[in-house]
Amino acid sequence: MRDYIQFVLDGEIVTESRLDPTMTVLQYLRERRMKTGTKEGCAEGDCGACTVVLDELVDGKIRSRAVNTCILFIGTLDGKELRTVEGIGTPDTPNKIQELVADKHASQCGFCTPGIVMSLVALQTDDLPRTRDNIDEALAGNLCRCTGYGPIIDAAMAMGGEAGIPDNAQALKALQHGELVKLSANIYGTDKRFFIPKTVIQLAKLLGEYPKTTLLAGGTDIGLWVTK
Amino acid sequence: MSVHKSVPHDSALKQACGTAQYLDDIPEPKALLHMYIAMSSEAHAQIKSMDLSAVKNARGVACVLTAKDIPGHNDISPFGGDDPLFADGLVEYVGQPIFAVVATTRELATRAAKLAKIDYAPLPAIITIGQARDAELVIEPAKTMAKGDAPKAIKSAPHRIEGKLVIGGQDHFYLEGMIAMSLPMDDGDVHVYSSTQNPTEIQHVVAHVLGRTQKDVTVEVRRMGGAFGGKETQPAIMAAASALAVVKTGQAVKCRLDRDDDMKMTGKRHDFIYCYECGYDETGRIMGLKVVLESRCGRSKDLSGPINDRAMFHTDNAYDLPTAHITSHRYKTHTVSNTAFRGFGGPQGMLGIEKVIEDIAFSLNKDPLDVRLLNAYGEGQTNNTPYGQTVEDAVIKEILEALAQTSDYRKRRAEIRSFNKTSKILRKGIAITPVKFGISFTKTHLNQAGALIHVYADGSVHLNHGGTEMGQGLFIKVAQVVAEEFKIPLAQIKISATRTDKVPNTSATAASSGTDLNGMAALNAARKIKLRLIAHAAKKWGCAETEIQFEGGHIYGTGQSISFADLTLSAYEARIQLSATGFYKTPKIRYNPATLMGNPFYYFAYGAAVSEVIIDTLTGENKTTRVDILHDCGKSLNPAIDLGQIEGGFIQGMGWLTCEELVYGTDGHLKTHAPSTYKIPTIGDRPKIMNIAIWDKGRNREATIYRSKAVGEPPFMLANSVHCALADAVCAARDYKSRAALNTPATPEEILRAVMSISNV
Ligand code: FES
Ligand code: FES
Repeated sequence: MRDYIQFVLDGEIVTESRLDPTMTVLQYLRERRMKTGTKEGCAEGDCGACTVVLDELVDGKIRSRAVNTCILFIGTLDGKELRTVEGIGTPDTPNKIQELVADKHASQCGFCTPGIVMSLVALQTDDLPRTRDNIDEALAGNLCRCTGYGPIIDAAMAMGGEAGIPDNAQALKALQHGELVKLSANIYGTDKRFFIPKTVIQLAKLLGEYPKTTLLAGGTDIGLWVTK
Repeated sequence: MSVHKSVPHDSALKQACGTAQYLDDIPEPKALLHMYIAMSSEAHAQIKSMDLSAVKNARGVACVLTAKDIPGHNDISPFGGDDPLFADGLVEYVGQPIFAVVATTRELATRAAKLAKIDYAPLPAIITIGQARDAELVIEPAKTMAKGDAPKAIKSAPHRIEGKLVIGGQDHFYLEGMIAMSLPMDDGDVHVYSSTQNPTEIQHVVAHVLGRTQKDVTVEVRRMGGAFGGKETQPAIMAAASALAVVKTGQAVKCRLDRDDDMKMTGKRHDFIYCYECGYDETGRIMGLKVVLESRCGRSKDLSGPINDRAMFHTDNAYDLPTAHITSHRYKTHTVSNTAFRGFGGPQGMLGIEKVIEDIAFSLNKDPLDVRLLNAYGEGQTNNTPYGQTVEDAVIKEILEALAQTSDYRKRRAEIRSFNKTSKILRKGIAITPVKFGISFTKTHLNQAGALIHVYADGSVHLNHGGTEMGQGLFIKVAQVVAEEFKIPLAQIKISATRTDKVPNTSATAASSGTDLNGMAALNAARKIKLRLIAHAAKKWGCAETEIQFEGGHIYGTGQSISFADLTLSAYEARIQLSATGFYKTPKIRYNPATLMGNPFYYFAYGAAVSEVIIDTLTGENKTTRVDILHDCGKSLNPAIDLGQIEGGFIQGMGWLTCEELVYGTDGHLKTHAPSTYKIPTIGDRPKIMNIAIWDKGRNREATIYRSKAVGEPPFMLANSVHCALADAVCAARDYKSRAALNTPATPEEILRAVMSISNV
């Protein structure tokens, strides 16, 4: 068993231990890493302002998903790769999607924009035809109060096939997989423990040991116990 | 040319890359403390006792603030004097701030607040407009506006009709929630970062609360993540509370509201009840209109006075009323004080008359468009508004006719009628509606602005003005104006944060007036510097000033030329002042706020929209399937930015009228205080077909900045066409036999209710 988590953050392997297990990824990014590009609009998984792309290895292949970091606990990053809006491009060297979003006037107040960009990045990695329905589906979780969505759809339609985002399969493979992980910290006098079993056997053993423990999978409800 | 060009928003790329700094992204100062504001759980109650000892002793708590800790005045109202920062004995809405906890982390502050023991003695709570009407509870006396003798005209008219419309409120749902961060400075001064549309007001309120003067407080805002009127007066809570905490602790303090708290604590769009009585002739020409407007203002005055005035100013919308009688009741309720929201009462006033028109058309079996054209301002009409201002540029008929043509309105209306004959469950509706919106603050003194421009010796330019950027593209438009004046590339201009210590005594960036006012003030400043540069160049080259030309980053005269940067350097060496302030005040506006008569508006902005909808008559589900818009931006300064305002405004208006429902319990608790329950339009709600055009004949007849027109609010009301189309579809559900009142928001439940209310025989 190891007592630290390991993940890839914008291409770099990161090791973290003794973090509050109920710290959200959004808090981690904004408060610990000064990656403030990812925004909080609701802290309950409904607005999409906090969207990043999460990659994981499934049968040796990378699977990418857009996820809401506001209700995602830090421990769930173990063994995965996180890509943020700052990681995929900068104003001097923007990613194609970032450039399109700007050129098509898809950003007004800009507060939803990083989340929109990351949802588009996830859409890009899917092999779906770029139809209005698929775009609607990919951005269904991203609220924008300013644009009326038209320019965002224009940007998505213009994306073309190339994601232009480096494939980090190497870094992802280099992470340690398989071993049981325990993330724990003493937070205001309480011991908080978060276990990350990688196999059914590990899970069964843990459940035997801690029968009253809270099981976390997606966490869309449990996340709210903490944020609300 | 830098103006009349589709330049992207200055921050667009930074926003797309996550490097555009919002308030919560600013690197935090040393030993920053965090604030949580505790709210009332009662709608109306006396606080019998309040025990905060456990809160004070909780882990991480630095201090607890109540009304007693305020050294100055416990009032953060814009002018009413009736908005305490912290409740002092009496609470008047669920969500009202009572005290604040300041702790080392946001989580600890939030946790500690829960330890408070507050004992309330409940008082009778007035929640709805109906209850307030019965209790005769108002925030200010009713107002009346009259043109001619409407009751008499209605009585003598061949036809008479009356009706009622219940119009819902709306939460702003700016994506960036309310936030402020205050820093301690020399002499006990405070520097306040506030997500506000109104820095001067925040400066004034903070000074008022602290018992200091405006010079002791500086307010700064670079950009907001949306505002829509919601950040005009409301940010005062966070700004004043954090500034107070700075004074108490000597440390920097941040106050960022959680979404749910934001929605409970801060004001929204007013909901209205609209009742009318109308007399008209057999052609559908209105002879007299009597309107009674009732609005829920909430617990205090805030901006409700001017908002309800604007509702009255817009009851005519684009229609010429030979006689009119308009009464406006401003009710006080024990709910959050409602506030500014895009349109500022205009939308509620305008929606009503569209119903009147549709009701008239139905009664005469006419196409509502014909009734609209018959009554629209223009040739042969009185062209005199109910408040006595003459409509000088009556272009609305032309816009309506042009849009009817390009959108194929009449043909599609016929097709929809035949579709509805055969379709059993699904029914379609269509409507075309106009917009005429008055531009200017109705508080006349607010129609002023200032700017500050520095040209550095190397030819780069620092631009500052009193307007704030909330996504609407104000900063890029003003930069375009300055680039045009100096004939330099936009990249040479630094757009800077709005600060009260750079430009003083500014007005809120509101009433769509941001560009009109600040663009002119910046032009005024730039022109002063330009004249000095011209004089310098003429002297240098020994030619007449009239010979000096600015073009493409260079200055030309008598066969000579010099780059802008070389000229500014030479001017600097010649000891010429390269910095200037600019000022502007809107001309021509004058009216009597007591009688509401006169010329409150500098000009009007126009537009029209056609919406087509489909409803499921068994479930009430509905969709807006196609929208065509023709909008008047005058001579647009930046067509891309203006198109963004038009589409964004329309969709926001559509949300107000369809899916955004504020539900209050009988106990005054808002039940819809998060995106899980309060539904703003999502990408799937955007109509599949949207054809938006800027009216190519647009040109402001008034001398506004490059003859452009304000565009922030007017497009919001284009969405009235969606509501009219839905009402048309509801009518079609029972084969156009009778019309039901369709209240707003027209949620599936409301549409179903309306369909069911028409007897099926
Ligand atoms: S902040 Fe709204 S979904 Fe995460
Ligand atoms: S650009 Fe403001 S919320 Fe999308």
